[in-house]
Amino acid sequence: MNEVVFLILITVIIFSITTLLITDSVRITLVFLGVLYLCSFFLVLQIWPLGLAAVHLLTGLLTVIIINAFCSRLTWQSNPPRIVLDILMVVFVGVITFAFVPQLTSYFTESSQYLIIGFFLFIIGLLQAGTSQDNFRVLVSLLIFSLGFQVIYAPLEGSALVTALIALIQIVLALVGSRLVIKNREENQ
Amino acid sequence: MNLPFFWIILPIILSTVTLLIRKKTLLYRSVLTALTFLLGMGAFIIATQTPNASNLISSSERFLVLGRSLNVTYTDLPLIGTIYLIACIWIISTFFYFPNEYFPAFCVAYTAFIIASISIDPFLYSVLILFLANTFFLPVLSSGTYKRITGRMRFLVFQLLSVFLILFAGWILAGGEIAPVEEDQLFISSVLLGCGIALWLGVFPFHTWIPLLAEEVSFFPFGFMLTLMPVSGIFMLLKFLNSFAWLREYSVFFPALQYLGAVMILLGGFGAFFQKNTARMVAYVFISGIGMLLCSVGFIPIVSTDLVSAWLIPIAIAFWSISLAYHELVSTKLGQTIECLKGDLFNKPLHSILLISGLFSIIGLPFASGFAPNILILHSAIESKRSILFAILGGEVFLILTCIRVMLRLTLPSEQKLVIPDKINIDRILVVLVILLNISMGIFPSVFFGPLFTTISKIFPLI
Repeated sequence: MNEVVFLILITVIIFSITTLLITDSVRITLVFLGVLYLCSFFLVLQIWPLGLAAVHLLTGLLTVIIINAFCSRLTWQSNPPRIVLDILMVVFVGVITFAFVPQLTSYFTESSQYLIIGFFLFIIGLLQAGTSQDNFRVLVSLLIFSLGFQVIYAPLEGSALVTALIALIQIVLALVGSRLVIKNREENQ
Repeated sequence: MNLPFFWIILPIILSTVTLLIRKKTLLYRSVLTALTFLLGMGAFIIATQTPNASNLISSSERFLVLGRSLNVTYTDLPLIGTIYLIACIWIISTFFYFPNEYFPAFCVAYTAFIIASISIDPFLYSVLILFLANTFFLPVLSSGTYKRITGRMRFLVFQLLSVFLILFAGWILAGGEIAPVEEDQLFISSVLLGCGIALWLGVFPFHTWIPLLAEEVSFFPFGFMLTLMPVSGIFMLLKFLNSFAWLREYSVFFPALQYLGAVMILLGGFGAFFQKNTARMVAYVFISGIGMLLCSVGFIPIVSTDLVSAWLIPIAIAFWSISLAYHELVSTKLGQTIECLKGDLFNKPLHSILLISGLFSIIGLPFASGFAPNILILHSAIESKRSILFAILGGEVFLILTCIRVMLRLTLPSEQKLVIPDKINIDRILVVLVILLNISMGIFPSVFFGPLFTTISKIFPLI
């Protein structure tokens, strides 16, 4: 992949992740989740046929629509210490990823650019899912985490069955997860 | 006749279609009961008709999906039949105990997914199918309250992480089928695989989702899920062992499984004894049961797959008994504390006995189905390491103490006197039959376990 394209993609991804973590609006979160899916589409397009990459993009956008259908009325208050912590986490994970992930190329026979972007999303998603108290954020983090995996796994395995299964998992996860989140919010109000 | 179509695709389609008639409760449940029973018995009958199955998979044993295949061989049929019969018992119980209208259909679909996960080639994709099945099953688990969903979210996080770790490990190992893998690649893939399976099965220290989930979801479907999920995990592990010779010869692999299993048994027993909340207590008992299965895989170099085969049915019976009894004794009450069980032996004697028989099965006490496997696991532990033996024994001692604690609560004096009813309810017949099956398996283990030993050893000939 071209260095310039890589730099643009990583910049957009970092910006999207940061905004997504610090915002207190469901709509903005989902818009930037959609942007992340778009970035990953450009990434997988370099190695997959257009049809398979399009499945990946459409699944991502469908996921965003499903979550929006269920959770658009959700509100929460963002608190400043949490925002600082999230920004620090993005910086920390970014530094760790850029420093160590290229060494993994000997185990995963793929370009370090995919590994950097993939692991960045994977680790951010996992950390958020593990540390977040809010269930909506956990759900979004799970999807980011899954997206990270797909970016790492795409150059390794281009099977139609795996793509179909992961797409199905993503949609079911969005459906089940957002239903859980909204029902939980309704019962606690 | 295409075997994967009949035992995987058809049940999924039929269970989905039956959702249309879910309001006609009796018809809906009867159709699904008949379906699982026919699939279970049919598998046994067809397997006996073809005793000389060859090693090559014929076209009737393969179903192509998007360039990959689902393979159900004639050798697999007895195992598949057993799984469907277990599902059949769960569905029969929904006639009387668990009125959720989605559970029976999801129960059949979940079973079909589990079988798909066992039969998919390449078998690495089985984790994806299992995760899909678990996510589909989550709404049925959540048929109760949504006040707290932390356990459900943690369950999703752990399961998703395990899927990715196993897929990564599998990708690294894929080359190992034809050529030896480098030492450091071997180490990394073993760590990834170990962590993935630990997250999947709720192995210590990743066990926290099990008690948390037990507390907040409907217990009956939870019990069903935990009956089949470890089985699929264990079969995935056996497939890994059957496929990769270097993994069988990797010196730390089997001892690691023995230790993990023994720690789970100890942790399960210890955790169960100190819980005030009954849901958490039973969840820890389930952790012990999963530990027994894991330990059995660890003892493969000593007793081959016999121990794994021996534990499968006792675990299924124990989990069903405990789940049903718990649902009847505790779920209908307001709290979940152990005080809820007070005097229930006089109110619901049969279900109290069912709960005790389930616990006896996991502990492996005489006259319970777990007795013979327990003797075998202890015998294998003696041949292995002392520390493992003590951990298993320690776990069993705490499980016995838990059982005594439950029995004391159940037998506390109640205002209601124990009376023999004039009329016997039909649901009691099922409960009595399962208790009798449990006892007869404890008295005549070889009758039940012998055929299963042969089946499993044929499915995994290289172990």
